[in-house]
Amino acid sequence: MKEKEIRDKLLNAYNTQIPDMYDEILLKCHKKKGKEVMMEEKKKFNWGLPFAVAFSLLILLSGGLFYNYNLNMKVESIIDIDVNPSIELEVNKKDKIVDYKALNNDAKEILNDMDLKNVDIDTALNAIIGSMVTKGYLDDLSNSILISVDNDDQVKAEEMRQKLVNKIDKILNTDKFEGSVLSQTVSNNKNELTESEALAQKYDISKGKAELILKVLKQNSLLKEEDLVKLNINEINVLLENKNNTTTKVEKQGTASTKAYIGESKAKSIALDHAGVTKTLKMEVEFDADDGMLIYDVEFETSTYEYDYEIDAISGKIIKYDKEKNDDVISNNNSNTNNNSNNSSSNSNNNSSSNANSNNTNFISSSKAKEIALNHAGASSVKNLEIELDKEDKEYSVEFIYNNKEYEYEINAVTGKIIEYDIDNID
Amino acid sequence: MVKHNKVDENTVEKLLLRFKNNDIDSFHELYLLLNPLVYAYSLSILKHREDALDNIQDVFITIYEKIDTYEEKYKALNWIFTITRNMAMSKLRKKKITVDIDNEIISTTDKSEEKILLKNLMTKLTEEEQNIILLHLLWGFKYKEIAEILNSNLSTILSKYHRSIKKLKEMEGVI
Repeated sequence: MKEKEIRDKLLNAYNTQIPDMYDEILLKCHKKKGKEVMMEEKKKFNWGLPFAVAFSLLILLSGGLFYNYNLNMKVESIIDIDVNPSIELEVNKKDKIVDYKALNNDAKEILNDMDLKNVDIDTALNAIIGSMVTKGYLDDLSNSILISVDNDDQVKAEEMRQKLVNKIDKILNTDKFEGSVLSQTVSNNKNELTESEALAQKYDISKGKAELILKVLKQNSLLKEEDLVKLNINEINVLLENKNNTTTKVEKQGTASTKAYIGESKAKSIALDHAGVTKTLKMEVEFDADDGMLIYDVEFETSTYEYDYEIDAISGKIIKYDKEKNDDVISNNNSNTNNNSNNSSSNSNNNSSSNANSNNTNFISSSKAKEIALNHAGASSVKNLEIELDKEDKEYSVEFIYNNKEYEYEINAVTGKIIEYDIDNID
Repeated sequence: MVKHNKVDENTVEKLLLRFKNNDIDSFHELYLLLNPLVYAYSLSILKHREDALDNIQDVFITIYEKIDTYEEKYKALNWIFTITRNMAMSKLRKKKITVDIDNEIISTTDKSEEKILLKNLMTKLTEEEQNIILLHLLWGFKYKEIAEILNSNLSTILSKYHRSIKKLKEMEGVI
């Protein structure tokens, strides 16, 4: 491996760990600079300006100011962004942020020292989502985000929803992981509290998340709202997928990440091992929620008993189990569920690197390679000489220090031709 | 494998001067060019990804704030490196305790050559050896400059650099 390769490999390794934080940085810079400018302007304010001019200007401008107020300050849409941090953005006609708030402590951490007022919605989204990725709320293990748009005008709400989904899709789907974006438009009723507003107030969550929970509950009446409110959006997304739902009015891109969970086959084997059962008549596994965490609900039957297990989806710990006599044994159903077929024991890539043995190749000797490099450099005696043969690439790498310069040569190990060289001043 | 051009003093100097003249695009170019370098050095000091990412933000915010104080007579890369080091050291002091390496960084589930190399760099080399490698290979500092930065002498730096590179090469692919 040559030094250049080491540099490239290290830079690649570092780059995979750095999310794009540029917009977030720029926002923070603008915020600080904004403060400074205001302070300077205060110092320079000239009280000597004639009052009459100011007064007449005020009269002239008031009409325009009112118009500007309408354009700049009037809230056109309310957008909820939920991951686990929940953020509410109030956006004006020009798609600029009029106001924003953190709806939970995680969101406070995200918004920390951002100043989003009067910032374009695209830039704000970049900064918010960038920060969520940096702080580990959105990653390979938990990749879902919910966007809810509230606008009196349904057409505008739908346009905004589309626009935001496209934007977020672009931000999230990088080479690091693929995101899953849930989105919806939510309605409001000026005269009374809607069901989702009531739920949001009851549990102190965003209206968007409340609306999503109501949709999940409609689809599965066995779930409980108090369990769902504690879940993050990825966990709710997993439940939505699990129940194979097609009726809810939630638009969706991508799939929820289940990488943090042990997987159905592992959950099955944990339950079967615990029960000491090898053959089952029926077996069902599905995700469920219990006290704010995702579990696998594993149910199976033998000819004598019915079993019901709840297994923590992350740790694989058995939370609850139940065993009852099987009263309705169906003797004609002998199709045993084969649990071993799904054993997805991840095969680590054991590519026992079978180096293509190129022993037959006639390489020049290392002293010949040295001679070629030294001749080229016009050097006779050198310091720190290192010669390496890369059999796969059929290349010699010759490095040495001569005359206060560092030389690095790559030489074709068969022909002796210099492929590349680099000379660096030491001081 | 993605290949990278060596960062050079002239390019960084031109970008800083353009930014000083209010060309905001050059600030973005600086960020794209230097954020992995700032991260690499910050990580070698702070050992934690989140802390190193925070340091990237603080370094670029400081560049933004202090650009008016930058002058052509300064060495551009050195100016940015000094900011990076000062901010990382101040974060380290705040932590007060010695820091262990973030497991996420060195976990071996990802067996790509790049990740193994990074793991070897961070676990098998001393902090000084890591810094010498990062400063020469990534930041492009000359040995003499590194000797000044690390308060050492040229021949020590030279031999340590070659010894460290040799170690990395020997460990290639070994987890």
